[in-house]
Amino acid sequence: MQKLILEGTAASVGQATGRVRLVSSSADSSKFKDGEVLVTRLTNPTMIMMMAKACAIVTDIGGLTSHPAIVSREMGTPCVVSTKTATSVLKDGMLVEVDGSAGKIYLIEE
Amino acid sequence: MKIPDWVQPFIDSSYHLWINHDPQSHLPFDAWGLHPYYNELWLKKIYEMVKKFNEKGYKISDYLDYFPNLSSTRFIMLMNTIHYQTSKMDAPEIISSIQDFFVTSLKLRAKDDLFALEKNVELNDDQLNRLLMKRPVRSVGSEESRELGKILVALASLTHGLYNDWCTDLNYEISGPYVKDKKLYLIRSFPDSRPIDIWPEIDWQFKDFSIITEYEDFSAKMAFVGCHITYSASAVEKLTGYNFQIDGKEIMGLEELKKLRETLMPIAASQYEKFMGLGLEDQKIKYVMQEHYQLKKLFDLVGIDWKPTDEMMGKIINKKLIEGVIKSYDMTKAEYAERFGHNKMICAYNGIN
Repeated sequence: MQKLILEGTAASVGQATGRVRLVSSSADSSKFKDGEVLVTRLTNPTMIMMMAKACAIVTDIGGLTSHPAIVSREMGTPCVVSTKTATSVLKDGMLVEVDGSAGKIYLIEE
Repeated sequence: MKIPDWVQPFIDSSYHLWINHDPQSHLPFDAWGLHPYYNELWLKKIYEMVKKFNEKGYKISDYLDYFPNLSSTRFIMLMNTIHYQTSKMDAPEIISSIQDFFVTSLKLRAKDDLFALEKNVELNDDQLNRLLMKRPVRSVGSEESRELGKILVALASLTHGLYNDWCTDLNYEISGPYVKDKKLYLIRSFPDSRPIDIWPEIDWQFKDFSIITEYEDFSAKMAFVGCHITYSASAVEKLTGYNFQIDGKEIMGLEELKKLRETLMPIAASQYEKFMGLGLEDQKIKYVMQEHYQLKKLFDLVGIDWKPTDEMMGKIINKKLIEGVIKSYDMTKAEYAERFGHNKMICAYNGIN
């Protein structure tokens, strides 16, 4: 069962499902696992190793032309930006579906 | 009032650039708050370059290679417009002369859609055919396609670290979309990934990356500059072929791509860390150098030192960033034309201060 829990700007098309991993800097690299959903205030180039492993990216701020949006499109990774509250609403380990085409994030109830 | 034919398309296309942007996401700092300290001197310096260019009897058509790429030229024109507004200077001759200079170069290079509302096209059909004959695309597997996507991310991120958010286009151009035989082609260029004039400590040798990519069942749309392209579908899943050159040497195959990605990603991350670790005062200096560097070839051509002057540096050092120069990008097109200096530029073309 899915429940819409967050919306933002659709920045890179596609859908992906994975567990949330909150990230604040490149120091979080060691705990980031392949296929997780990278959730942060705004990505920057120090996070690219984690971005390359992520199944989807969600940020609090940023527009269609921000770093997370541009690089997600090049990697073909679904991305939603400008959700405003992703880093407070989403918690580590939550299973979510990110719809980068619609700009929506759904909680998958387990 | 007389309005040059290129101005309305310029406003229309650049408006989309900002309405899709978030002012909080500017990196490394809010440069709007720095510009008013030095931008009058900057516009005057560009004007000196244009005057010297003309005095020497040069023709723009003979020196197109000295101009920044199409996207970078567009962005410089946009910044000229905004600089003119926020500098509060009244010098119609200066702004109209420099804008005429750059727009002439665009008209000579862009094959269509001068300000990239939909596409950023520099090659005609013959030129594209010749390029694809010279550099045929290789078919791609899914893993290779993913690696290529990661390399593009590394190159884009390296460019952020070398040129910040504001001069990115100089080293990150996407040309296209080009359509041929139902396939769509994009040409990505990262031509100056080793700018030792800005970063003398750079210890890598690679400089110029050029990647042709081919897609099926795919569309792409520009937004004023190449790197703000958006896609109809996953650029990784729809990729059918590529041709990748570094400094003129082709690389291909999964192993070569993996090796390159493993090399580039740490470099990109560490370059950005280096930039962010500078502290605001040094970041401000780098920022102004990066802005000047965009026109280095033209300054060199006419014999003007491309680097910021001591007078200019004196204007920015130990100055607090001004708050609220541009507060929001939430605006109508008419508000945009007013706030971002387009109306003032139109007045300048009519000799009105």
